[in-house]
Amino acid sequence: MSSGDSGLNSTPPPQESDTGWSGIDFSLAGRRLLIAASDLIEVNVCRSFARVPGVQPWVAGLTGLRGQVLAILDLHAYLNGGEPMLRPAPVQVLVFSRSDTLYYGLVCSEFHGIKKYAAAPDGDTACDDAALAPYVSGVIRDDDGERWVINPGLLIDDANFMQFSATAASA
Amino acid sequence: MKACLKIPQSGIAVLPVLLMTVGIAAAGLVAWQVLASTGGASALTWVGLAGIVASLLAAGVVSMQGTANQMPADNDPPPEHLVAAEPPPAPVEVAAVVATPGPDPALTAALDAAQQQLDQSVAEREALSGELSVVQNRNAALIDAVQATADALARAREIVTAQAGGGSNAAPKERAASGVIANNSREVLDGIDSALATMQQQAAASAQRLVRVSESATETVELLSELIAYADQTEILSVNAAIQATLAGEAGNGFAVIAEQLQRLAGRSGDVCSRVETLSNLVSNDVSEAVSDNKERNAELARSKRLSGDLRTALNELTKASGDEVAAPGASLPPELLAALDAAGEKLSAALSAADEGDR
Repeated sequence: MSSGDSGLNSTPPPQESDTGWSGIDFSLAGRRLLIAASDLIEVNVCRSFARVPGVQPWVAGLTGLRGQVLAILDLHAYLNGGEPMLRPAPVQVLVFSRSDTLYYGLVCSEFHGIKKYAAAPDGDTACDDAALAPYVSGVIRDDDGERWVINPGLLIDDANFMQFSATAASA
Repeated sequence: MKACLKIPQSGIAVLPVLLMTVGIAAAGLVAWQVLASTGGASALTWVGLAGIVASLLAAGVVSMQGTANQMPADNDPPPEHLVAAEPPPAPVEVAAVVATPGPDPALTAALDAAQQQLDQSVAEREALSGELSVVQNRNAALIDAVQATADALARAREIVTAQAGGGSNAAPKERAASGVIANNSREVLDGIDSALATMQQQAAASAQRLVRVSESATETVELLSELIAYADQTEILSVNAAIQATLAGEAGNGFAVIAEQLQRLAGRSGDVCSRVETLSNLVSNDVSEAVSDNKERNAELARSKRLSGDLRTALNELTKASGDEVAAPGASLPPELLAALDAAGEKLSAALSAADEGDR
């Protein structure tokens, strides 16, 4: 990791090059999703993390990653009204960031590895899941069906999602 | 008659013949008691006696044929419950997996160790299956033979009881012949007891082997968990390498190729883990079944020992009822009965030869 900045933008254009498009394949509560490999810093396994009182249900806890703070975030809990996924440690997290000082780790139910596609995601198709749609940048269609591509930059730009404190939100 | 009661030395496979002989002898004894008590042989009595001998003979031949079928020939497959549901997979090509660039030495060592452990477990399992098959066939034959003898003696006891006092009324010469039969029957029972003791020793040895196989299976599972952890780490490492290559842009294209190779290596490691897990589960299941079979076999052995004791008691009672005479030189049975028993002996000898051929 030479830099903590993975170049996340709120509206990144789908990348297409001679080598195709690479996405990280993962499941979130049984739903298969993708994240562009270029949007991530790394995939990590958190063997333990500290739970924090007074935070939103989707903030599972905090841990350290090479001297920086890594917030463990439960996207499923956020999208489903705060019902957290049951996940005994260790958990696999997809790490992304917009600065060198704070990392975010998106918890995934199951990690399926990196997948290469000949073409970039289709950014013109609207997501049929209203809760997920604001964070989707495109869709990949293959033999397994449709897989929505999550853009972590859109999550960071969402003030509601980034409101970690439960007390501040209630106030 | 003497030839029929000879105790074979070739092993437990001929036990049914011996036990059948005991049955015939017992039937002869009973018939003789009946004759002695009634003072003569009516045609109806001889027909009934011939029927008893023929039925015992038929049961013995059927038993021998069943035994011959149960005895494992070299080319016979082992019993179905001791055979894996599907043939063991070909040896895992661990060398091919670790020969690709950049393998983790610890992963390679763990793969090799797991492969060796599995090979050893599979070999032990196959050897154990063969031994258990032999023990099972022997035990089944023994159980059948002991049961047939018990039935024969039970019938004899019923007839003797019905002819109460007949034994004491018999002539001394005839009672002496009864003693010959009783002594020969005791020799057969001694052979049965000896065979039971041997089988118990074999069962104990099989139990020890089972313990060793179980320990090997446990070690394999422990190695497997370590192997799976290595494979998972390798996969995540390959993904992170691919992410870094992507972030590096054009400069990372070369590294992306290496990352892709690393990912393939991780995938193959995962496949190896799956196969090892399948084999490990197979071994564990076989061991569990073998343990269960061994317990059943021990229970059957215990039952056989009880039957043997009951038979000995019954034989003693029968001897007592006939006057408890010791064998006397020149003692003989009625000629008609001797002829029937000789014929039975010849047929049993033929069945024994057929069984020996089957064993080969």
